[in-house]
Amino acid sequence: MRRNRAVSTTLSYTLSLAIASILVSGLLIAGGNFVESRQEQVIRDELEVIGQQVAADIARIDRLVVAADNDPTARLNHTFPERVSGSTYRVSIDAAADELALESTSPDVSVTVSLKSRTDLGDSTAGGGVITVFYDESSGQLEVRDG
Amino acid sequence: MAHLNGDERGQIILIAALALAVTFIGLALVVNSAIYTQNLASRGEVAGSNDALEMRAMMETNVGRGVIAANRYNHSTQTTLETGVRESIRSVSTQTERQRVTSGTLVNVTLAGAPTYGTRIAQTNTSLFESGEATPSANWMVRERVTRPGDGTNATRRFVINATQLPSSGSEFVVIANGTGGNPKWTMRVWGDVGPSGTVNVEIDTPSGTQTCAVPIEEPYAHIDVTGGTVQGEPCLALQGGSFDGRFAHGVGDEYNITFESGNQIKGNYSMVVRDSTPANTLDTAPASPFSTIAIYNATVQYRYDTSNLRYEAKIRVAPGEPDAS
Repeated sequence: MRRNRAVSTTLSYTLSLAIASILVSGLLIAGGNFVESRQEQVIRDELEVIGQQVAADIARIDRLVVAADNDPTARLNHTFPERVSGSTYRVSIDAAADELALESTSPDVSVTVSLKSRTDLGDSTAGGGVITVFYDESSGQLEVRDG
Repeated sequence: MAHLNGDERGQIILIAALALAVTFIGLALVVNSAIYTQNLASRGEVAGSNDALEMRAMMETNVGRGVIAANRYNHSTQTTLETGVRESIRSVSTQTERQRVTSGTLVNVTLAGAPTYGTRIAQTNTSLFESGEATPSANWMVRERVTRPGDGTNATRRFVINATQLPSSGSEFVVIANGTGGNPKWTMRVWGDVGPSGTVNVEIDTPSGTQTCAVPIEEPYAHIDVTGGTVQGEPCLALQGGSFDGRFAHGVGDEYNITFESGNQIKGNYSMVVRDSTPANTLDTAPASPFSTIAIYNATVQYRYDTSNLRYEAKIRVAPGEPDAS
């Protein structure tokens, strides 16, 4: 009996420590994953919204260009968040696919929004923040750039 | 062996709680981002591009009124016409600029280059639609070789008839836009009675078919806007584009003659402005009736609209009452 004294206390201490560690790390991993997946979803939503707004700006400039007789100057600045959920992003026009592609850097999320315009689109790209949609008179195309 | 004294117990839970707290802060930031996204999504137009287009339309109308006024009152020479239009554009610009600047918008419009000149042919004394020769004829050529510009837009605008007496069926008044060089012709026949309880009938014959519109009128006059496609202010589908395209001189080629037939059957006023053309020797100049004067066919203005976020600068071609290019 004397040699067995305190064994149960040590064992139960180790066991409860192990169980507590497993539970706590499980909770942390699950919580971390949850936040991460939420973040990704929110970034996706936000990029989609920004994409739609930029697409609407492109449509607005398109209307202004169509309403003019020849070679108008048309430029529209729109202020968007610098970052989406802490991640920087880029907006680019893919003229071949008639699409607007938005990509965040970390985590890596990409979203595309389809574009429809009467004026030709030009391959171009802009970072977050103020985004300028403009009509490039030399090429006759609608493009985006940093404002 | 672990020390089990009270001070150092529960570190794992403490650390875990801290880590979880940090996670929750992260979650709060993400949720905040999501809320901001919703806010961004529900924002409408902020830069004012709709207003830019509205102002553009308004400017086009106002400058158009200036062109009409100059053609009517300042038509002695090209210089007086241009001066008249330039001055009216300046006052339109100043007025609009002053009005819009209160909302932080700069609107400006100026005449760009010289206007394109043409000829205005009009009758203003409510007589028969006959030629202005010493012996008036009922069937006569109003204008010869009216030529469209290279881009295929129209060469006749603001052709309006205001008749106080209409021919009866069988002796219709006829307007023909006859394509030169063997091209097809466009024909409009008008008959009916003026009001009260009258009806205006307008029949359009083109190579692709015939269509008629009949509009009941109460007024003692019939107002037919030939290039605008309306009768008494109501749309007349026969005179408009669509499945049957009966717009004035549609499909007759780039050069045509305008002829009136049975002009002795109809009374009233009319007016039209034509682009490059040759006089048909059936008109005397003002004040005889009908008369022809030099006129501005179209003017091009430079329009500028500036706000803090939007810059729009464009040339607008103003040709009041011109139908769309056919």
